[in-house]
Amino acid sequence: MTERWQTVSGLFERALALPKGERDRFLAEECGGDEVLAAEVRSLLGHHDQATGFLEYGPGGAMASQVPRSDSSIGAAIGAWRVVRPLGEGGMGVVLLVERAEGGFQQRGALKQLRHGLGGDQLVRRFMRERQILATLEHPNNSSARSPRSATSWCARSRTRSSSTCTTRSRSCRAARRCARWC
Amino acid sequence: MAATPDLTQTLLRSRRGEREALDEMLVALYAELRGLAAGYLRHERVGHTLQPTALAHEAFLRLVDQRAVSWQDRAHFLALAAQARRRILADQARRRHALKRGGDAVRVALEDVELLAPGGDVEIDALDSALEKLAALDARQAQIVELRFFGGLTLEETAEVVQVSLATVKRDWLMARAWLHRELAEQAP
Repeated sequence: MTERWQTVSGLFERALALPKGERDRFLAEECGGDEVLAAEVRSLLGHHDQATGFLEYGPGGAMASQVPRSDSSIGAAIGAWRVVRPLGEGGMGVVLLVERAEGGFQQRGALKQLRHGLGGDQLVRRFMRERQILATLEHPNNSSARSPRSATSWCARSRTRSSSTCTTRSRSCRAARRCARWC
Repeated sequence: MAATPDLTQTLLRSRRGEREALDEMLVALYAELRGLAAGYLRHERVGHTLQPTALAHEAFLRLVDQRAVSWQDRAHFLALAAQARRRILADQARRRHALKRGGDAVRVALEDVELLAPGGDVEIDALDSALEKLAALDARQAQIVELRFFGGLTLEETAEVVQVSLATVKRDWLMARAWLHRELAEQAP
């Protein structure tokens, strides 16, 4: 490992811990005029922001054919989330209001869970793809996907109260609108 | 393949860093993981898991004499299984690309396509090459990605295998992920 790599890693880690607005000032101070170093760390921070969900599920999406027992009881834990109450139910599964408190912050979200027993490979694969799409969608009006754990048949995201959250007509917006229906 | 004292001994020797034993373990795991995956395809069972950790665990039970090994040996086995799975997927991705280029006499096994095909958008062979580059910069970060992405291990399990703190794994994971994201973005057409 080179000294340069260690410097970059150290700065990346410390900058990441700061609010976004303070990172530039931090880097300017720490890099002492070494613009190349500052640019390298900034570039990695930028890619970190785009990397939500990246490499998160492993290449085995299609291998994950196990469906965990649907547990929608209030207070139940699903991954890092705790169920507050059910929001709705459909033929495919349930949508639950969930919250989590870890790492010193609280967050609420909607969690979609496939009905127990609906574990056909194709369905799970489609579900995994939907999660992947959600995780990579970047739009100010779109609620982002919240780091679902490895391959299971549920997916949590921030809760939107209305499905008409899109004002433009990009492809990702159409996808977002489709996905927003279950919130 | 039944649990054999031979392979158990090979596992122990490979953990001590013997190159030959390491290669032998990888070859055995490569065959075993593919065999298990193919078996599940033929006898698809409802609700049965094909998650990488479950496959690795099953391989461990089948190949290794449980009475003769410690938890560190098991952790070492999981690391080897992640490496074997990475090789299976990378080989498969390269064969697929060869097929796309019109190469003939290249056959992709059905079970590979069905069971091991990447679920996400990640190009496995590009990731494999990027990981090799990362390993030259930071071997531990590359191993952590291998364990998590190819081995399906959680952060906690990864910490156990690599024998570092959970905080270190989290930190390395974030840095490696950002670096790989950039590396693959730059390669993308």
